[in-house]
Amino acid sequence: MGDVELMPGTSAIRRTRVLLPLDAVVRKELRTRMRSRHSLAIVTVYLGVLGSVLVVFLIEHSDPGSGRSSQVGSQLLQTLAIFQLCLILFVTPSSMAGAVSGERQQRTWELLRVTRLTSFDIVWAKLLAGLTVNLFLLFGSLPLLSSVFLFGGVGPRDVLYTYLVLVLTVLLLAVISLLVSVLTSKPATSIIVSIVLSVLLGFGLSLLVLFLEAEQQGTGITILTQLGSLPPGTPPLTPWAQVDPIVALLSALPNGKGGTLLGGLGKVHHAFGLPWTTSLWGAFCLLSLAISLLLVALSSLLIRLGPPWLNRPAA
Amino acid sequence: MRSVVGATLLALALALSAPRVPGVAAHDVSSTRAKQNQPKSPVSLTVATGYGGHYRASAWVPIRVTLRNQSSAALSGSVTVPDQGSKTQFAAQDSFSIYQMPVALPAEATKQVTIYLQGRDLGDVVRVQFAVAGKTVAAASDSPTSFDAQTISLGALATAPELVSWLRRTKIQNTSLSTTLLSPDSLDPVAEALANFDAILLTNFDTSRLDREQITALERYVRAGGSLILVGGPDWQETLRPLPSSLVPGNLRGSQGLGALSGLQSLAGTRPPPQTTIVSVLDHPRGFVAASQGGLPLVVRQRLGQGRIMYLAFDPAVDAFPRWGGTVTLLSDLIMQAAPQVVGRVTSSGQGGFYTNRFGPSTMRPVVANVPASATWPSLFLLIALAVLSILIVGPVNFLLLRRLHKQELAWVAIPALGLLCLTASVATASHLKGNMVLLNTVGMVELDGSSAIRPATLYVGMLAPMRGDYRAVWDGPALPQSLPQYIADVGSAPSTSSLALRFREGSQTTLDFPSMNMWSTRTAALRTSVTIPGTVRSKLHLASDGSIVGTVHNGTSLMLARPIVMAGRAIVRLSDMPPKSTRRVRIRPHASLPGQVQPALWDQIYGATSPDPGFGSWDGDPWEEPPLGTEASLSDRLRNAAERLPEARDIASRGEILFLGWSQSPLGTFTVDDAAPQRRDLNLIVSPLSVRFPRGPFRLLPGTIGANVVDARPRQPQSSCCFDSVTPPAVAVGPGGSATFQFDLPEAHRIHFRELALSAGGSSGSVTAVGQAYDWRAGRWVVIDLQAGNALLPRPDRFISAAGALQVRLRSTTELGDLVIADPHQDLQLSGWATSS
Repeated sequence: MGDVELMPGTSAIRRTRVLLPLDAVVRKELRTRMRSRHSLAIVTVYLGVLGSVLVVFLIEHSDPGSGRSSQVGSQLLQTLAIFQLCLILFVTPSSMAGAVSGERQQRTWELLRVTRLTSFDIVWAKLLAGLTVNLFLLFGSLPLLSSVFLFGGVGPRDVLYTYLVLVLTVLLLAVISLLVSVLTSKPATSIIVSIVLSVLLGFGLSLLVLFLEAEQQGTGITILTQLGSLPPGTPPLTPWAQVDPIVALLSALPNGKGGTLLGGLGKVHHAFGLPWTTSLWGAFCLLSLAISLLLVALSSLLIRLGPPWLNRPAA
Repeated sequence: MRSVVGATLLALALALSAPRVPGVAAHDVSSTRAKQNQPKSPVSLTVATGYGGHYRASAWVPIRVTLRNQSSAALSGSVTVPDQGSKTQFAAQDSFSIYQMPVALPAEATKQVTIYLQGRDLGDVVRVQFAVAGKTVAAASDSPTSFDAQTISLGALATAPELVSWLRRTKIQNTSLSTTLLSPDSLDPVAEALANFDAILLTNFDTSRLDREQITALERYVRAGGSLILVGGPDWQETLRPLPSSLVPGNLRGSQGLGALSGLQSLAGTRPPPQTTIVSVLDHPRGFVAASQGGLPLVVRQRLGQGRIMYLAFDPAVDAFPRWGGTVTLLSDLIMQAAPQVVGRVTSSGQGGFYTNRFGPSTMRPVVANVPASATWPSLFLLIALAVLSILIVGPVNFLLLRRLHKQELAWVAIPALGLLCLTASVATASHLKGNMVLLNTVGMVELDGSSAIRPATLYVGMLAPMRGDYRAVWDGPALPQSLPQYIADVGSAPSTSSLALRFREGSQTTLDFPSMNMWSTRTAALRTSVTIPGTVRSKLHLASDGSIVGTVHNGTSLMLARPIVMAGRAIVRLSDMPPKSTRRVRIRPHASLPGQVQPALWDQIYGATSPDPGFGSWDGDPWEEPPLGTEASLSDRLRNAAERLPEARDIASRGEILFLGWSQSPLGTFTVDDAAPQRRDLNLIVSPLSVRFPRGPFRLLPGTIGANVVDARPRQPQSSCCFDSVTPPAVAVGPGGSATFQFDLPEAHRIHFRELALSAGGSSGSVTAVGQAYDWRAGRWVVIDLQAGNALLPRPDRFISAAGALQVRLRSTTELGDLVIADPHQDLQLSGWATSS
């Protein structure tokens, strides 16, 4: 931040305005985060949890006589991806929710506001820095995930699709957490609210989707165990499933038999009201991107206007 | 900014409120529109399934498709029939298969093609399409119904329907008779399709009109357990002379007139009217002569393989029979005796476990999907070591190194780079290790029965795909293919799910297309086919004076037979591996199950106890509790896993024969995958029935040496159902008022004199509660024997043995004693005693 104000000359200022979010704020954020032992702990714990899941899974499936190597490979990818998503639901809000409220608590927010940075620049830079840290975790887990290739049943394309869903989930959770951070003054509050929203988006929405599908099927809760094997003609999932990261992930994960875990339910016909059929995870990615852009814009707008409850002078 | 927010919100609202149109519904709408715009189809298509719209669920069902090209242009396309999956209570298949047949239709031509599907895969509606260049030009459907357990299905090869009208006079309690008139055009040259019939009747029919394939199919049908009823009489020459000698139980030499068929009185209970009847003359009858007159056989039963042939010297359609009061009894009994497999099905209907026989060949799926661990399974230790190492490198080591270099901010480059590096290395390593291996895992069973080198076989095939993609396997020969689906919970009325697992093409070669296979995944199928195995397993076995079976067994085939055994009752003897043309000495002391004794599962007895416990042998058929495949640490484990799940080997202990069993790991037949020879891993159970001679002089007959067969029954509904947890229904279950007749066939009976002969009834299922009777051939009546203690000594035993060596035992159920239940006649009824052979 200080670098920006000290940079003299109009052209330098113009250049700074373009590079600033990436070059200054992001670098500062990254440097601060990477130098702390906190980051080392987060990465190690994150990978440790995933590694433990992997080891337990391998021991559970240690019987080489079962002859289902490819299915085990698919199951391993499913297990690791779902665990990753669960971790993301907690890690991303935790790492993002203090982005603005933390500045407020440290009383550096007003300093940041008086710079030449626009409200959009601030949001964008905070988002990028937060995303980068979360993406470390996703990419850092690739060595663990790569063991699925040694079993078979999973191709690079499956991992790519899975990661697209995970990355877009991180983006969606990050912008939601950022918005919460913009709306609150205390990091603790914003972290709690963000995690609650994140859990609601993940598990809550999934339960809603399953409940609505079970209602349609008229088969009660047994539908939960049979999503991937429903026959043709089964009513499609509620449109809310298109913004549900867990359902999107299930629609991207291979089932070991050439299909995906959601089977026929993983398709969206007439997506977005258009004569277009796409995969559910594809629709999720597009919608997440759209919602993220919307929330980034909303966050910028709120920063510019300032939420009224944050503008009230202290008693 | 506000406008951007507003526009995005609107777009989002629109997206989430998009109409919810199901995929299938959308497809239907487009199909309907397409139909409206379509010109009239150039091809008309009709479909006929089964025989007169009926089929037997356990058999292969012909689907006859007639195509007529109404256009002036030739058309080439393919007829397609999807299977509907063996949907059963609570479970449905996770995938379906498509059967295809290429058809070239000249202009204005009509063609008929026949596709065979397994009866259990038909579903309620059979849908057939004819597609040209991927576009459906004609479609039709049929709704066949399956015969129920109480229906006796009879195929009749007769010149005219009135020649089999006598069948309408049969009255068998609790059953109905369904007769289908067959012709040379409708008699399928496929034994598995003929199995839709419990029996096939040949009467007043020019058999020379049948081609070689049809005759071969008839013989294979009988050997596989079918029944053939041959009607002689005045037109015997036309009907019986063109048949091969293996299908006629003796030598036919002419015909003669008999004043009255008094020889039938023993079967009918009343004397036939004194009217001259022309009968055919059979010399040197093979098998059991059930009725004769003046030395002339009138009714002869002969076992052939697992089935039997019944010869009638008279024609029931001639004038004498309609006027005779005993006709109903006679014909009804003859039908029941001709088709003994019906006895078990009719009397045991509704008996057995809840999941009885529900999953059939699908139990083989894990066996053929099981490829060697070294082929696909990475080292567990290596994987865990790599996981720990990668966590350390990406986490602490990376951070500490960058901190030492004072470049912590480079972590954002280092972590993704390390991650991608590991990913690339793993993909490359995996591709290098396994990228080019197509493995075909085949498990099957072949029975060396009959003289022909062409043996019927069932092969279960699992293909391991090295890379993602489509694969085409070709079996160089005709076969009936079937998928081996996995069962999933049934959530509704829809018969199958959307996943296409296999496409089959039947013909002189059999094509199996495996679409969209995953990398290193396996997909499975079964082929009912024939393989060429010259030679056979021959034996020179006889009974020793102590009752042991001694002699030699010779491997006359070109196969190396591993882990061979000889089985007599519940006794087994293991032999050393038998290279081609080798001979092994055998000594085995037969024994049967003792009453109430719990026997280990046959395959556990042979190859050692199964792991995990409880194993497959104690599985009740519940799909959600199917035991996993036992660990295969040795060849014995693999053999046991294969044997206990092979549907064809399930009843092997119930054959009542002395059997030779051995395993061949040589490929049988030729497979190609994508025009190249795949790596093969074969395991085939070779089964050969062995014959045993009686020695000269005194000898002992031990239980387990000779087994009994059901030959007749008077079915009555059992009072109670039994055996909820049993996978296999009992062979016979009869309620009060009913009875079942069993027969022991003693070889070379004319030179044997029994000093002592005992009948035991009970076996592993405990004592049999029934009134026992043995047939006295000299007095021509049934004699009551006391079976209350579980066994009975037959006084003056020679009178109970016919000239042809038949000993018949009838067990009757009474109200006091309750239901008669015989789980396995070969085990539950046993003969033992002392005899002298001259």
